[in-house]
Amino acid sequence: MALVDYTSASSRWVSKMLFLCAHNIGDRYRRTNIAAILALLEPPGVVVLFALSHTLLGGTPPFGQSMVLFYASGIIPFYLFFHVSWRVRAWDYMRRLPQVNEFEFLLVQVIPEVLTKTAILVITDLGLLLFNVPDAIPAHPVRCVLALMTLAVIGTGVGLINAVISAFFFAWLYIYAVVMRAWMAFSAVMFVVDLMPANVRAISVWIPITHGITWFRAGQYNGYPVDTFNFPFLMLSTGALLLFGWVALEATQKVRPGR
Amino acid sequence: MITVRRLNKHFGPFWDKRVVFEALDATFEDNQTYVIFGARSSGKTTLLRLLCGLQTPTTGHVKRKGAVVIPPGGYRQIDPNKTGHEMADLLSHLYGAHAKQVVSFVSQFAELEDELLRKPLSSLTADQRSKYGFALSYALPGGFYLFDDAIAYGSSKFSQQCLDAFKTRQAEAGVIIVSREVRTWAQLGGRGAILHGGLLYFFESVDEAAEHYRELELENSEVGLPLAKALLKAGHTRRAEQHLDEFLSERSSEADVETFILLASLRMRAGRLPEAREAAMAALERNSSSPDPWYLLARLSQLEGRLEAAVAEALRVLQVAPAHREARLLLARCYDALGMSEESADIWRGLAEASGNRSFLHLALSRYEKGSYWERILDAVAGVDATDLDVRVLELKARALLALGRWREASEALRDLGRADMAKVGAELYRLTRTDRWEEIVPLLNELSDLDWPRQAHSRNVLLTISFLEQRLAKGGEGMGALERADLEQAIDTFRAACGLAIEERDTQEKPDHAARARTALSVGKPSFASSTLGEHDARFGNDGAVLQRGKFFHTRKEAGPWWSVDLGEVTEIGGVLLFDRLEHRERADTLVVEVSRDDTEYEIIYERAQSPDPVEEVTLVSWRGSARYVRVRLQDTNYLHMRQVAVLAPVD
Repeated sequence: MALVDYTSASSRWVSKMLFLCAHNIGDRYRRTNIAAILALLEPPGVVVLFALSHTLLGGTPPFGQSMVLFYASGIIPFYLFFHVSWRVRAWDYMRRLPQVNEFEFLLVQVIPEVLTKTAILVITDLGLLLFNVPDAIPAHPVRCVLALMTLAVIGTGVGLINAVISAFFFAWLYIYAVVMRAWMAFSAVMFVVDLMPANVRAISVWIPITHGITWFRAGQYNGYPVDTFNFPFLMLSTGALLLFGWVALEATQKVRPGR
Repeated sequence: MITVRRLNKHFGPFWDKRVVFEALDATFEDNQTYVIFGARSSGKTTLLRLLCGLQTPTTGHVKRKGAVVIPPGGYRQIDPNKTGHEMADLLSHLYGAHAKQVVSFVSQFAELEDELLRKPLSSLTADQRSKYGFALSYALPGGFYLFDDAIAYGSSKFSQQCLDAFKTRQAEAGVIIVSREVRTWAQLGGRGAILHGGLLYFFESVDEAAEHYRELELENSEVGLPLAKALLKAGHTRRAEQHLDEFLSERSSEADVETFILLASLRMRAGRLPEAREAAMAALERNSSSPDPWYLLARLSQLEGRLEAAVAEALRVLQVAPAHREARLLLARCYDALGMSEESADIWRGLAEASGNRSFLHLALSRYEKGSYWERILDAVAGVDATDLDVRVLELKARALLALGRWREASEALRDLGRADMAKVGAELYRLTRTDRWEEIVPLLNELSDLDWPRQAHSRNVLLTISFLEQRLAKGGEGMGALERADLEQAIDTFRAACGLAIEERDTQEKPDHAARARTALSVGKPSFASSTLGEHDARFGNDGAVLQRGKFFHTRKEAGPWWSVDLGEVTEIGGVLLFDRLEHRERADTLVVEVSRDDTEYEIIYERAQSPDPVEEVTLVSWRGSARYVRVRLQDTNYLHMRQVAVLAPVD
């Protein structure tokens, strides 16, 4: 009896969360919201831009046979991290819903981003398959999924920290938006860390996102170089960022401007 | 159950923060009603939002066992740009309700069409939004229902619906009401609380909390207007006035218009009109552009009976504030009192249009009818939905169309009226028959014969209508050709059949001319007397021989056993008495008797109406042969006695 109750409650909860995620996506992309459409198109747009410019300059893909696949496997996971952190940074400003607790509310901000970015990746892979790119079928899909989830958690932690910083220093958000786009250059999005000079590797290995992207590519490609990939560091830094973000939010509750 | 523990809530940055709650603890038990009183900005609305989860505490916890339904209007906090459907859909999912059932409930409860529910809520009128908010809150299932200052809203019908829904929810779930006003919340039962200084103080009853809250308000009010208002709220009218008097005598320069207006209102309420006028004038001196002093002066003038001045002052109010409802009401009443029907009707109509209040529209229509402004009536009711079964509106619309001779539309209007009240259709037909517009009555009777007449068959209006028409035929159809006569006969028969009444064989033989006999009766011009006289209808009209003149009849006051008699001058041979009844209120003569006497002391009853077989015959021939000097008609009960003519006939050999 208790098991039936638990199953029924769980299915109700899943149904509620799915509805809220659909509602969240619907809310963001309806009524021809140009900003939302741009946000949706930005990652594939950047992929096309990088791949096209690199091809025109006569370059070859840093890894694999497809320029588009290489950039997509770096840029879209990076944007997942970036967009999650961007949504969560508005924590204090978001309108709460009845019957939805804070954890559920956080999930509702994160899951839609994971779903949309995953959908973009799947569409990209399917498109590349039409052009006979064999690497388009992920070699280890589970790794890809886990890497995406890890990047979403890093985004959540950074987003919570941003929420705290922006509560006192609102201009930080503008700085963050610019810095993050530039940061992409150092986050293994455009290169393979293992193939970089030692001094670049020395910096890159301290960036959790770099490890996240390397992990994702290790799932996408067969034989992707992972000598510098440090799984324990990725897990620890992800946990630490999330914990730090949550603690910072809790610790500053009384001093953050209330709404 | 809702448990609040160590709840803190503040707004604004830390260097300029406004603390609303600090370490608030509270427990709200299931199925219990709570009324929480709190001053303006004490955090009542914030508390409700925290309890239902529309806001998060700065620190602390709100634990809910069971669903806590958002207060009416709480949806605005979520997203006012959603459509009614989207909002209902979202909240149905959150509260585990069936979305279609919620939308259907909201649509019916708030009388909002589906088309409106598909528009963004922000684009609806304030009234529609409020109705939507209440309907939505009552539609959602929950363990607790929250209300911000009101459990009902709007028109009496919607308000009653809300109250019914509230009672149902209150019986099944917990209720928390926050309010600034100490009103009739005690009737709801349950516990009371006061929200003050960021903390909640609970009391055993709402009354107890209300009493403490009043004291608290008095303690915290500043001298002058705020304290006077607090005293008024606490029911200390006299003390409020005394306080204002003292305050103004000491610190008159600090007082604003509102203070003087309140003082004037209090004095007016106490019936001290000159002093009230003095205060109102003082308010006017301080601000002549404000409508309030002018309105007060208008009220005072109205109370003093100076209606023209009241009109002028109310018009000044409307110059400044054209939508001032009270001023418009006052103006309409003054116009009514001055007999200015048209002006009054226009204002009532404006009020009806502004508020949607039907009683204002009815007042406007009555005034238009009084002045026979039939076109204006049609104009005023043009916006009323045809499916609306407002009998008064349908009745006056039909009447106006009949008066204007727009027969086809009138026929439709009478059908609409019939759907609401068939008796009123009978009344309109009877009114029409009395206008002698025979050529219109015949086709109308035919057209309306398919209405639901059988239930009205024995109503007074239907019987009178048939009787009038039959009399018209009986009078020989003056100015009527054979074909028209045949048409009228057929129309009467059709109407009788529609009513389920027997169609009688018409006597084609010429009927006795009662009018001619009455003109030459023994009693014409003889001294006549009545037990009393109402208006100008004195006894002589009962035997002046003018049978056919409308409006000529005798009429007594309402009294026990009213009578009318004629003195023939000497004992005379009598062949009978013709009684010409008034058909209006013919039933008043149900206990009528006719008596004769030789000496005005002992009377013999020769006719008793109670045994009369036909209740609607206009002329009654009392056949009696004998000698008498005095002939008297009398009622055996307490009523008015009125007759068009009583003709004492000579014997016919």
